[in-house]
Amino acid sequence: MGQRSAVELRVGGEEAGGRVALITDAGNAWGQAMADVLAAAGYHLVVNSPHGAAEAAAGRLGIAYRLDRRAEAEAARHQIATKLGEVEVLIHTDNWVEPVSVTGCDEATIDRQLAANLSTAFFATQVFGGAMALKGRGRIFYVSSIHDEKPTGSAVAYAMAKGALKMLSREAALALGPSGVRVNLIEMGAMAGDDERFKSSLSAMYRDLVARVPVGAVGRPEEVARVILGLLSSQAKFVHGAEIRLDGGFLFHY
Amino acid sequence: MESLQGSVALVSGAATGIGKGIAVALAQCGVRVGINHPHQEEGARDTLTRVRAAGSDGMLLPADMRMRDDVLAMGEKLRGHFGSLEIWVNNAAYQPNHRLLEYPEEDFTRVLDTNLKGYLWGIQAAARIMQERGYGRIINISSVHGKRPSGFDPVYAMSKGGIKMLVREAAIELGSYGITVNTIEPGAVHVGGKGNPRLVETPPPLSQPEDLARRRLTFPLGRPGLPADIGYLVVMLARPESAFVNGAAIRADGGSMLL
Repeated sequence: MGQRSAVELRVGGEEAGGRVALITDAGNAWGQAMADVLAAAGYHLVVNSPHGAAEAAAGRLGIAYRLDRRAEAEAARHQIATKLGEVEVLIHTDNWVEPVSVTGCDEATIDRQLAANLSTAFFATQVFGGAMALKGRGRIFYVSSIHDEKPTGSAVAYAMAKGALKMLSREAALALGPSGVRVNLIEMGAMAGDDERFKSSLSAMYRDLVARVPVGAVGRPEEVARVILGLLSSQAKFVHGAEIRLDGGFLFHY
Repeated sequence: MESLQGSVALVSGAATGIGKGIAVALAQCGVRVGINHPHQEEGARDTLTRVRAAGSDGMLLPADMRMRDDVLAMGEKLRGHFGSLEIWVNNAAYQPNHRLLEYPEEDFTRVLDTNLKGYLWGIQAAARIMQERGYGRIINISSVHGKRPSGFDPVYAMSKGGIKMLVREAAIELGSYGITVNTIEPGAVHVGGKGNPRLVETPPPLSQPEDLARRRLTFPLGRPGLPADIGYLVVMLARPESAFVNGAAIRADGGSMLL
């Protein structure tokens, strides 16, 4: 893994050339790792904090927009374009898991979960993907979850959002591919902390988590970020409309 | 086989299209049907007439599936009228057909509210009644576009992708109450146009002999689906003998998705 990552980093560095990359939620572990890995590879980073302005690291543009609304996404694009130019790499990192059962899910909960995990991806895709299509090039990655296929037994609203996000990725691949935009989705799983995040009384899948992951370890956000960096290479331009399951083989264990 | 005679079912969006076909198919097995519709009086009355002509009974239940309280009340009303509720069919959907980049925000919301949240409210309404008796069949009409992108309505496909996960979660949560939750994924079904109040029972005619060959490039059987095709599958899943089918998705597209 270490050696391959080094190669990916070099490829990214050669090709990044100061391109503008937007991380839609830089407040969580995946967003932070993504920002660090892309910045090290030479990308110009825009880090969004949907839950309020956070201090952006030196050399990064910090913004604070609720991208679950079209108007906010437009405003974000305008601010970024004015300061740095158009976004060429969009990484959707919003992942917020609220435990809730099917029978106990009220309207406010499903609305919050769909807004945070799905609508942000949709309007970011419309606005930034649309700008990429006009320019004739761009990359979109959705950092999603194995729970777009596997039920959680603990967080129905999150799983519904991610099931829908998978179809957004496939539709966007059809719609934007001919305009030079590459669209892919990562299904991450068995990440550190997932045994707490998805604690369930219905499913035993997260009990003794490490023992159930065939590679013998849980995943870290940096690993997700490095795989995405590698796939940003022009050598991977035929990777499109794909879902890359990144879970150390976890889903095959039961 | 055990009979469905005397069971009670709710079918959402039963005034038109696939929902009408489901209501009629259930009535033909002696199931009494709650005919939900949003504001389609003519089509709903036509469905009720067909349900009665099949020798069963039904009642009209106008309600907007986006409104959680209304959906919960509708379930209670149906149970109150016929005395039980064994089968719930989520079917009502909205599909405005916009392209991804031009999709209006209000339709984005309306599609998810109707197709995705509406199914959640339906499952909740069914579950709270079925849990009391420890028996129930919840059947969700989705689409092949819960898996294959449509190219004509991205948010419709997103809503169907969300239903896929809702059904899987509900299947493991409600299983302990004797309630099964399953999905049917229709391909193209000929309903005679949006909002058609009548039941379509034959495929669209072919004007030229060579049209059949062209049609087979999309439909291996030489025809699109009909509402009765989906109705038959609902009856099958609704039977007590289907007890071990849970969290499943049955594709009903005549093999189209394999082409």
